[in-house]
Amino acid sequence: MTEFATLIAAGVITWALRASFISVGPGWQFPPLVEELLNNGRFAIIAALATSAIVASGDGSLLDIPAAWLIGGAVATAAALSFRNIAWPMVAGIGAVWVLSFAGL
Amino acid sequence: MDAIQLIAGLTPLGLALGAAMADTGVSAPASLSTSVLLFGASAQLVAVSLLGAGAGVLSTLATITAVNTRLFVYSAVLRNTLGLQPRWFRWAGPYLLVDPLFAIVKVREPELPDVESVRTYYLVTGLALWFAWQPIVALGLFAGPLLPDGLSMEFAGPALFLTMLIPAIRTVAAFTAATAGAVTMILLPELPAGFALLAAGLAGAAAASLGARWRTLR
Repeated sequence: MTEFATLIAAGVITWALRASFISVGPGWQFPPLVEELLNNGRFAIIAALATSAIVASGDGSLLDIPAAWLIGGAVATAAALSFRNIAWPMVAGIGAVWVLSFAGL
Repeated sequence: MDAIQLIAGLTPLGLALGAAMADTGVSAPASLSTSVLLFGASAQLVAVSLLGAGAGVLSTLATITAVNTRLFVYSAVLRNTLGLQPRWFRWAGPYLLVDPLFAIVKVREPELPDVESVRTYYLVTGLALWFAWQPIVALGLFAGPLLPDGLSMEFAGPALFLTMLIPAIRTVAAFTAATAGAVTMILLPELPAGFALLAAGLAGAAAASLGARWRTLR
């Protein structure tokens, strides 16, 4: 019961974070500098999410990242530059990791 | 079309999440309920992992809040786009806000002619993701542990973030922000995940702004 109560509370907090600015609606603006930081910050956050997931694949150090993941990341990046969609880079990246893992890398 | 591509991309991630949740020892109903209550891979995994490890209520809630702080930034970035929508949407719509939906809405925003088009695009794509996510995670939960070791889905997370990021980088400022964010994340491995993400976001945004000013001065 505590488990579900905790999860429900977590759900409410998560929704509140999502709705925080959107629910307020139009009619107010951030200063231009904050606006600029927000617009650029989103790229940094997504890059940080990708980086943390890759670094976590080892023991938290850059030197411990499996070679298959590094090559898979490069393949996914190259495919994303070529196809500019989501499905093919995912297939290419995961496929590369699978092949390289089976090859012992 | 975007929704189909997103679902195809999210499928390995959802399967991996389900398989990872199966290893935590938390009951299947509780694990599956996170897909509805939290609807976000990182928060779901953190919640179930902490509950499985016997963490307290407050520490679990604090960690999930930290992991989800980026949603606060997403909400701020999208406030001009979604804040113009009717009140019902401004309260209910944010429930669907996840990383891929945020990224794709920012990419498509310039092509959507009016408020109604934005709302339709957001709802169709967001609901498609939601309805696809539920069975995918369930499949991972029940079938994931049966997969051979070599067929790990763990790379799906970083691959998805890379494929959302790369097409969105169209300016020097965006490239600078992404690079600085990635470097910051590497330099701050000891910070809790949510705070490290916020620090990376701030560092990336500051680097991009400073770079733009430097280029203007030259």
